[in-house]
Amino acid sequence: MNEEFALGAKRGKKLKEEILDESFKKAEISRGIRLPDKKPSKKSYEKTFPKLGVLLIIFAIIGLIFIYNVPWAYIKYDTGEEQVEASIYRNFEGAGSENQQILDLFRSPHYIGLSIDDFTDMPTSASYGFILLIVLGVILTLFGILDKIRNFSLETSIIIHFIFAIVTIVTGTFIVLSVIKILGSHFLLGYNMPLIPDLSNIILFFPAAFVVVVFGFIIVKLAFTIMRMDFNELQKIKEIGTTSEQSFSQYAQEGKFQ
Amino acid sequence: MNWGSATRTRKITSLIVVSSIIGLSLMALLPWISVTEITSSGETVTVYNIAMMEKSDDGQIGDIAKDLELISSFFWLVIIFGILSFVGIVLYVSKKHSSLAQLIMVLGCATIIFSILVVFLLWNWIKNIESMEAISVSLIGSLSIKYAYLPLLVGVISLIGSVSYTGFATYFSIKRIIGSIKQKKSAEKQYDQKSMLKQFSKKDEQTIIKKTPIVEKQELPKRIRPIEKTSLHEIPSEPEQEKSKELEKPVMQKQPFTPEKLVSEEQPLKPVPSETVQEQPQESEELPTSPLFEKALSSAIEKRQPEIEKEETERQPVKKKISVRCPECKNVFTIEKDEDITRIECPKCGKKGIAK
Repeated sequence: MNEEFALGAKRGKKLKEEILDESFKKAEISRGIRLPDKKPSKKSYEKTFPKLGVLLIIFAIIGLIFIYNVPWAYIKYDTGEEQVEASIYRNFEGAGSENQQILDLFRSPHYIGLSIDDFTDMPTSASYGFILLIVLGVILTLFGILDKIRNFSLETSIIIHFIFAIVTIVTGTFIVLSVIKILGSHFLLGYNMPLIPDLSNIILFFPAAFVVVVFGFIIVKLAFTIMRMDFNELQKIKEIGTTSEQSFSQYAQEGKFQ
Repeated sequence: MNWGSATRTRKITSLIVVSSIIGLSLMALLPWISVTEITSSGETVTVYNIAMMEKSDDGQIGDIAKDLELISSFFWLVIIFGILSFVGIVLYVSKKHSSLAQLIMVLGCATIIFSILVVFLLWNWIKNIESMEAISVSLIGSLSIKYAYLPLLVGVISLIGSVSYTGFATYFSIKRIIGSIKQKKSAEKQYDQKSMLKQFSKKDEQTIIKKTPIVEKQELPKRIRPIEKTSLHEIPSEPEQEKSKELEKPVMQKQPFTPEKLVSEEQPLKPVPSETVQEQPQESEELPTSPLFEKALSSAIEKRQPEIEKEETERQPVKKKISVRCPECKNVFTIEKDEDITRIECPKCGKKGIAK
């Protein structure tokens, strides 16, 4: 019992000494007698307006290129006599009037839930979404350039950044939902294929829609990541207690942000 | 809101938004119903997704599609309000426009309503379809799990997120309201104390101003007496004269304000048959005598006491008693010396000098 008690007392004493040392160090640092220990610097936040804006524009342009140049449907079927392959682009271009069976597929009774009009409407709405993203990217880039001149506070920048990210999420969701119907049709084809007359060996694939959906999800994911980063950075600023009147670059140069 | 809870709320909001986006995608992607038709060739089963249902010529299937569209629109509303609550949290963390942030956060609680509607309508929709004869809810392959359960599950996740978000938002709102009420009360209390103090100081100033020259004269010896004891009155030097002049004026303000002193100062006024002096007791009668006032008065005096004492100790020179030997007659005598240079005169031979 006595040994345990002595051990406990020893530990307590050690702990007390440690606490005293720490508080002494703190007091020395606060009085300017001692320099604070240098911690390994973490990767710090950057104002990424121009970069993100440009990235958004590039993404949107690639999306538009896909919409206009990649086929919206690729069909391959066997008529018994020959194999027919067809690539259908937006506005149902490339189907050919000679391929009556393909035309029938997209007319009533809608076994896959897609109509000829859908090949006009969906690419159009997706392209509107991408155009909106280009506009957002341009505004973001302009704001970044303006920020270089005016040097907005970090908090203001983050909030604006955040708003842009939200608009991007909504636009990305709109793009995904406007096109995902086509993927639904692909899914449905597996169930309804036996019902389609004369097209028992049909292979139907929607490359453009698939790419656009993937793009849309990537954009949404990126926007969420940016929002999370902004939020964490905002918290960090508030914890540090800076007024953020100076730009980050100044802080980074001074090494205040760690 | 502390950082941990802010981060948790942000995560919950993200969960609500993401689950709603997934829910919407599933709504468009999944096959919903299977319609059994008996034709001449036999029984055929056609699977419908939402797009196919919308384009169907059958009115009943069209109605089913409309129900699903309504659910989709509620999912959209959950997304919008979820994003709104996200904005509210960010504004709250940035500590800019805190009242607006609070309002937006409370608005974000609407997600719970729309999530409930999504879950309820979906559940109702499934039950409704199950009750139909020719139409059934589509199953996942050979499994007996229905496709419709996937968006329902997502809706439930969104609902759980909304409930926890609403809990957090309500808790912080209540906390903030209680905090603001407390702050308001303390501010009012402080304001009352300050106004009391102001009233008191005004009365005090008035009493000082209304003291007549006669009273001043009566009180002056009392005030000067302790100073005379410590000074070399035999040698009326210039600095002392100045000091005495100074003391005559500001002593009234410098003296600490204690109720006893106030009474002792007012007591000699009573026998003086002057009109101006008679005003003073009336003034003192006007002072409110409620216990609250007395309490406030005493606290104010207590607060003011150390400050005044400090001022006085700072202003009054510290006097020391030192023994001095006259260089002329070698007479040793005691003088009282302050921090400044003191002029002294030997009481025996009359030699004048200074003590540094």
